[in-house]
Amino acid sequence: MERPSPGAQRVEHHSEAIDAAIERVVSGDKQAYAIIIREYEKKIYTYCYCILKSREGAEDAVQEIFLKAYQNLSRYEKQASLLTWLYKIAYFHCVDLIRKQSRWHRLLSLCKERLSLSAPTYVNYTEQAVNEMLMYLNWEERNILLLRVVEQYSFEEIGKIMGCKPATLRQRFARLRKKLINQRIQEGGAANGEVAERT
Amino acid sequence: MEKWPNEPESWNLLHIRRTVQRMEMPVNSFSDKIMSRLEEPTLVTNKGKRLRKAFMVTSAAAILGVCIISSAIVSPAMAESLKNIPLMSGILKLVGDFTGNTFTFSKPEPWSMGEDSGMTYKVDGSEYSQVMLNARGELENVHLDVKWSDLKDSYKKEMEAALQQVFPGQNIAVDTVGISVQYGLPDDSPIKSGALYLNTRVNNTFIELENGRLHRVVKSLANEEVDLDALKTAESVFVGNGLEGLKKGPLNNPLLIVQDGKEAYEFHFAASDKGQFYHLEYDEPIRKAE
Repeated sequence: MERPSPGAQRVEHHSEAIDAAIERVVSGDKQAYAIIIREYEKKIYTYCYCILKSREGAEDAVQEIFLKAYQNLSRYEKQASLLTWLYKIAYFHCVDLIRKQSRWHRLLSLCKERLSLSAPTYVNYTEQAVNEMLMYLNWEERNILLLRVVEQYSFEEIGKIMGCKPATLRQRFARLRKKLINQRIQEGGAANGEVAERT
Repeated sequence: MEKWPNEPESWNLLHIRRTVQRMEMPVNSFSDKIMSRLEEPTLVTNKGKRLRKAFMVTSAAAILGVCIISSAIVSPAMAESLKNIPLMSGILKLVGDFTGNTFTFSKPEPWSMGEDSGMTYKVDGSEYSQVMLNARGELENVHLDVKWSDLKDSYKKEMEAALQQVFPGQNIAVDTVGISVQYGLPDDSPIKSGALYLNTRVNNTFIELENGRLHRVVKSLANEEVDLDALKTAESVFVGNGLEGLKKGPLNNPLLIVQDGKEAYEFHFAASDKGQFYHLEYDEPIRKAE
């Protein structure tokens, strides 16, 4: 079932429990941080999974992101959305991981040529569906799609998270929409035009 | 199986959003792991200190950004749309009619996607819920999970009947049922505007009812469960240059879909060295040999 979109265009309503938890953590009550983790971990995990396309990678990333957030929670300003703040940490963490991965990309691609591709396994239908929907987008496009369509942030807000101009994001978003439409058409063609008749 | 029509882009984006939001974590929570790592004395390493230094810069940028965000939140357009929201009592009655229960809603939250915008409400006490109105104050959709014990009696009966159809003779217990109604969808959308959908999941089987009748069943199969004739026929598509040289990879997580009484397999094959999949929908009712 769909959750209400928490996009940054919305008015951020911090629950009193979260506000209190933040204050407790900043005051030294470490255990109160668990409240914050449980509130936002699913969104951050989903974001990381979609960007990194790896369950294991997302599991590690979500832990690192919350550790980073904990270390810097005293710098968090309440007029900001805590979720937006966490997304910013998550974005830069994922960028860092992807850049590191890219250094090894050429080496890995050589290895892949020698190995038969083993199909990824999915824990459930939703995970598979998400992978299939996003597989034709690069990680930057997936990032914009997630923040814009799933979380419904404005381009200005995404620009703040990513550190780039809203106009650039609008162009990228328009391109990825075309890409999705074209992909949809191609899929339709393949599925509808290339199907086998059962004998 | 009949073709499922290509959805217009807006429906496609909505579908992406909903599917992503349905994703579950592999564990119930990471909090224990993270909390135990907070206790480790080596948490702040040199690398950590460097990151912290770098983070100070990004954090400052985030805070600066939020000041701008705050002023943008209450735009004149959004303020105008707020005026059009109908009285809460009307929405409550509508949702009450769908669910048979009385709910209270959270504070409204603005949403926007492309040129569209409006407000969403969350149903208090429901883990997943959304009541979405457009800028004209018209109800766009209602989605909420309802515990079985809170489900309207008539829906319980409908779901029980559907479960008996799918799992005849078995006593299946369901914890939660999803209720969904959407409006304003195009005619060729696979989801009917105004139709009430109930759904639940039993192990690896997803069950959906449309207006009280079993509409769709999606079952995730083990490879061994696939009808070999169907698989062979599907694989024949890759023979020759029919798919412009596209190579077939190993079969992965095949699905058996039963919709409106018609059965179809969906086969997914790893199709390139980039780990992409070719999606093949089998276009003929398939019956396993009896």
